[in-house]
Amino acid sequence: MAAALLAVVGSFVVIGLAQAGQAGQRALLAAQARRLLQGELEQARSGGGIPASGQTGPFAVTVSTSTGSAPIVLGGLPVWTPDCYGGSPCSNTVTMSGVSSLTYVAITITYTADGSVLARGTTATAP
Amino acid sequence: MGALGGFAIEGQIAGSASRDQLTAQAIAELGLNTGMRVLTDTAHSAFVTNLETVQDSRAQGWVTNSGSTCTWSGVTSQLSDLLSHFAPLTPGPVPDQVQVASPQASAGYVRIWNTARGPGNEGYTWEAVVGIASAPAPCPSWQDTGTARMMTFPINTFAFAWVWGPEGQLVGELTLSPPSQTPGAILLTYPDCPTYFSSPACHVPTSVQVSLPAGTLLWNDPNVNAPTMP
Repeated sequence: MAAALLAVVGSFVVIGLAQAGQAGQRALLAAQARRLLQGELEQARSGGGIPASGQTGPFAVTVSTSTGSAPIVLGGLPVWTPDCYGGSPCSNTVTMSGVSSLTYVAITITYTADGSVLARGTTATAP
Repeated sequence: MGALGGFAIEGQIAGSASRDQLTAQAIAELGLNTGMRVLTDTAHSAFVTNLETVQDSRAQGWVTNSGSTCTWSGVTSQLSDLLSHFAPLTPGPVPDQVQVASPQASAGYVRIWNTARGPGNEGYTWEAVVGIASAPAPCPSWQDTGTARMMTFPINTFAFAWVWGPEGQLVGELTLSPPSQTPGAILLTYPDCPTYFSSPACHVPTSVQVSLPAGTLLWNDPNVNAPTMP
């Protein structure tokens, strides 16, 4: 009886240890994925170019891009109308059109073994 | 304006960010880059166009405080005059609800916001405040080379970006601070006409340049407040 009880308890301990090991491995993978994502985002936003999609170790890196959309100006436009001390022409235009030349970059890091998404982020290329 | 490249976020170890922090930083960088693009394009279009009308006498007035004896209050007052009359940016110091301590003495800025998708395709909101402010050094200067006359007025850029999560909670702030040793400048060049030749063209710039410096990034600057989410 005691031996059977010991065997049952032992099996729970083994299962628990296995689950803890899997959880630890998962946390380690997630940390690695975030480190990879952080580097890719840093490259994109700081002028190092848009990272390429592909395989990096156990991870699949998926990069998608879109055009920057014009932001909204708080308080509306114009934000201020200068007078140029009576000089002419005097423009009050805030130029938003250049934002469309920025590339907004979305990066997803997937664990190839099971297809789960471990990290995802988005940023914009350097101005 | 150069890229923001080459500057890591101060005080951060690569790969140490949590998921939320990484999301917030990336979207804040998106906001800063977008804001700096708007500021740079505006500086190089409407601001330059307006500065092309500056009479030489007025430009000389902005540097009367120049030389080794220039004072911070004098320089900021003159830049305030320059920006408020010629730049299509909100004039005045950085609002108190943005910066807790040591507010910029004079500035012109614009506040913009938008949304971005984060982990799980959830919607995040960002706001950026970007602008031009006084540079602590060097002093503004007026130079006569014998063939041209030039006004050089050092300027700095500043930018803040905040990010709010899907539930409207603030998840972080990123500050772009200029490197004090390498400010940008407003450079106006005038012809150096002989005294016997008086033409209106002698008194307006032949060339206008506005250069904005790059900066370094600081995460969750304790001197920065968070405004209300747009």
